[in-house]
Amino acid sequence: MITLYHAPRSRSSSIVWLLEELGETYNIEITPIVYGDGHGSTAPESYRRIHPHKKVPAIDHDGVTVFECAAIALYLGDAFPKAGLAPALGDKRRGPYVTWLAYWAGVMNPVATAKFRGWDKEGPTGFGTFDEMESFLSSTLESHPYIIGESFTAADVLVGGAVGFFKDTLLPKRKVYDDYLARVSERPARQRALAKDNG
Amino acid sequence: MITLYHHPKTRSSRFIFLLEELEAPYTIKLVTVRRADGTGAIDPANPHPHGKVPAISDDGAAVYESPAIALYLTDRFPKNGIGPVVGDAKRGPYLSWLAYYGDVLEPSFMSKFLNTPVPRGTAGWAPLEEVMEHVIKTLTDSPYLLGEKFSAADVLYATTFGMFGASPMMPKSPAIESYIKRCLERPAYARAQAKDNG
Repeated sequence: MITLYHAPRSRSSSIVWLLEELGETYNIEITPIVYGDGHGSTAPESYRRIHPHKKVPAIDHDGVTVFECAAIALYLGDAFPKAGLAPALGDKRRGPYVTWLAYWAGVMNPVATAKFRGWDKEGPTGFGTFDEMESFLSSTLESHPYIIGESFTAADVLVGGAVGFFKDTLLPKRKVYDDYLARVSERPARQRALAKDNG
Repeated sequence: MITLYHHPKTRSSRFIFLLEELEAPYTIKLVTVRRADGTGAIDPANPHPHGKVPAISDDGAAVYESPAIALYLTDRFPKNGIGPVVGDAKRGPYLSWLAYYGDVLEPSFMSKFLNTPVPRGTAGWAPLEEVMEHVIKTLTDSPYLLGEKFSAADVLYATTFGMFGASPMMPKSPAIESYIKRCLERPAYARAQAKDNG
């Protein structure tokens, strides 16, 4: 059994979408968090055994805890291969798949935060600048309909979530983002996930 | 055959360490990189989209970002058991520690280094103090991040702590000191050091 520790309208919303794509049975455990604007409350101390910083998302799968979105996506995509969300080991697309999940986590997210908070600059950071990321993201999506190629994968859940989240704020207006978002948003699993976001 | 795009004494050095642990067939391709001090230039031979290291290619397919390379390589070369494979009970913690490296540990160091703290709820990472508390607790309870057994996650964390060991940003911790020593005294690390200049 899979349990998702989730807070509505947070980073864990993408994992509701991922679980809907997966088609496995799961429970949602609504978990309190402090939102970016300061509202909300921290989870009870007992939640720290699930997530060391009391954040969401985290999952429990038959007693195994996994946290960090990219780790959850990799874990579930490989654990339930029949959903076809993850290129298998040995598939030529495996490299781009793991790369994009790590890039989403280790570059897209931190540069977006750095840009938003005004310390986005080339320098000692491992993750580079927002503009560099943005130009790579848009050129990648211009070359194929999904982030690693011709078909949808778990990486599109995370990248699609980020493009949707930053579209009218940090990202410049580009047709390629509108088209990509339209393509991923019309998926039935995405629609079901939106309806379940409040638990 | 794996090609590692590498620049000496950078984040790519640890992947020589990992490739040595895996006993994988590989070649090192030395590339130039832009340095923090403004010197150096992107090398057109490097498949990384931003000209950074590390990157690898496996029969022409590029993989980059340290957690992705670590996972890709341990899945590709499983014989020495350096990364729990799909179906192993440690696979979940392994993936969590790899992802935590890229989107929590590194940004939390950077955030501290640039003196740009982020309020709770606004970033995907946590303050460095809280991150190190979690790491230290884990390494006080067991010799490696995944328990009793060394993994590619330790390659990332131990080399990072080794590099930042003397920095005032790093909390003094006997657990971390013995962890660095335990990981870096492995024969594969010595072999990697000998190959760092290509």
